[in-house]
Amino acid sequence: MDELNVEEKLKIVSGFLLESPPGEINDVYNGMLTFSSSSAYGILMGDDEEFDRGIKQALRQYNTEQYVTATLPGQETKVIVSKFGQIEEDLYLDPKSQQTFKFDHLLHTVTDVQPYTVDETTEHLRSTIETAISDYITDHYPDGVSTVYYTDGTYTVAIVDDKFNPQNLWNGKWRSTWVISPDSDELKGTIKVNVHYYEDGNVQLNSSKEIEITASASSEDPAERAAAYVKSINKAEEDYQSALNESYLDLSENTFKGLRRALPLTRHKIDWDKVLNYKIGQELATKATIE
Amino acid sequence: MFSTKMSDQIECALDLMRRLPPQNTEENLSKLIDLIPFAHENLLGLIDQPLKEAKCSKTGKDYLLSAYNQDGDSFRSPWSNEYDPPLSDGVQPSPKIRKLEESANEAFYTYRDMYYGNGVSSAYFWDDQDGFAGAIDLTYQSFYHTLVGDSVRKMKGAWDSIHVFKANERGRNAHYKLTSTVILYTITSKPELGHMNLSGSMTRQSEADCPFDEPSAHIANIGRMIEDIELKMRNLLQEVYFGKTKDIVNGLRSINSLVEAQRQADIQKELVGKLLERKS
Repeated sequence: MDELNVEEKLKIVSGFLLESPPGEINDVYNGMLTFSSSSAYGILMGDDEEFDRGIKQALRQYNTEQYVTATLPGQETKVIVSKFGQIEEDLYLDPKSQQTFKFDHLLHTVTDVQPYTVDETTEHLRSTIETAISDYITDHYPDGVSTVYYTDGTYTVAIVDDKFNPQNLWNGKWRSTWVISPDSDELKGTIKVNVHYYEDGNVQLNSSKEIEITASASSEDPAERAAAYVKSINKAEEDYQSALNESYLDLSENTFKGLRRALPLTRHKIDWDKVLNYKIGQELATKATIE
Repeated sequence: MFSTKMSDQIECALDLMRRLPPQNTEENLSKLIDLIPFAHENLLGLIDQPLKEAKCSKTGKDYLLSAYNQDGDSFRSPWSNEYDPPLSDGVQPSPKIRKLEESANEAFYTYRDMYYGNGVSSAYFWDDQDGFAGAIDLTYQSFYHTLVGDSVRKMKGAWDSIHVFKANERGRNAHYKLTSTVILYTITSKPELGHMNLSGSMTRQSEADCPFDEPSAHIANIGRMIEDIELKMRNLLQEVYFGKTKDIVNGLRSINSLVEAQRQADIQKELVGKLLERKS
């Protein structure tokens, strides 16, 4: 077999990194390092500039898609590292503290924190939504982090809740994204839930839904409008969670039971001696009929 | 640069496959083999892939394609013992083991009927040091399309069982070592839910010593072991798939108000405190 070229190797390694379950990118990354230390079939990590640039790009994409969080010095709440706050390659905005920061996608460290001047005309509604969302997160997400951005005429709410429990071999992540158009009060949402359970196996839940709703924000008052948006988000997320729970029940009660029975219809385990003799008996019976 | 031991690389590859989405096992395994081609054979033998079906051209019966009946690009039908596409020098079990394989295929055809109601079963045996070894594969798929009101609910489920055993004869007893993997896929789509894919695989090992008076007793012994472990694994899958992962989801987000729950807990604490105060 011909050895793959740099580009082909990079494509495979990047693909693996991007498919890492929640909280397990470091494990997958370290696995790639182990492969790369074989001199005969090195996959070039730390060896080839083009390759390393590609790996960094994959890590950046993974982190921003997975809503990895960062803590800025002196801040009590975490900020989500996402494309909505991306200013330059590794430079991100924390709208709440009105600061920009450099994020290292391999080490997850924050450096170079600088003040940032936000647009005053949109900041009031943005920060009002932020406060309302923050209360909502406290009420429904045990480890939730949210960030509210203003970009190009829309407000974007990003929510993430991580539960990483590698000691007990499971990890889980809930992500939701809500893009609010203030002129029409329309909300476009995406909810993604991923769970990985890997004790003696590899079981994964990958679940997602796209949602479009309109909030009844009749007032011009920012506080009332923010409350209306958050109320719509809460209802949509609760409906989704209920549908997911119902589907679990349905799968367990119907789909699963239809695949393999717990016991044969006779309600007894198989009599293996009988099964083995059955064929012989059948052959004898056939012979008897013919004769 | 130093050279990592082959065994480390294999272990690392297995760890990787335990993490990457089971929904994409086939694609990821083939990419992994492209990346570390020297581990090709080891990986194919160690990572179970979803089973594929084929029809035996001679008997018209369905059988399963797996690493255990493959030689080059051909697969051996357990019903006719012939390779498709034909191979003149394909690997064959010895006549004695082939006879056992034939009985196993008959027996597991009945087993499949009783537990799965439908689906496909195949047994593949081969000669091994101090005895023989084999793989019993079972698969069943179900599809549902139900129309509720004007919304379509689509459900798809698939169960693949792969049992690989080693049988060593020791006088009048035989020692069996069994590795069982169940791959379970469930996919659901409906308007209120969107798309849900809950899939994966779990593996268990079991060992037993059983007496055997005639060769066919091996089939009954292995059959009982498989029947027991499949029931255990069925319960385990039910617990992990529909219990544990569901609990994890509901730990990420709470439908009920956490603030209200905390308030109730605080009131409770205060009441208990007051009660204790009064008593003292």
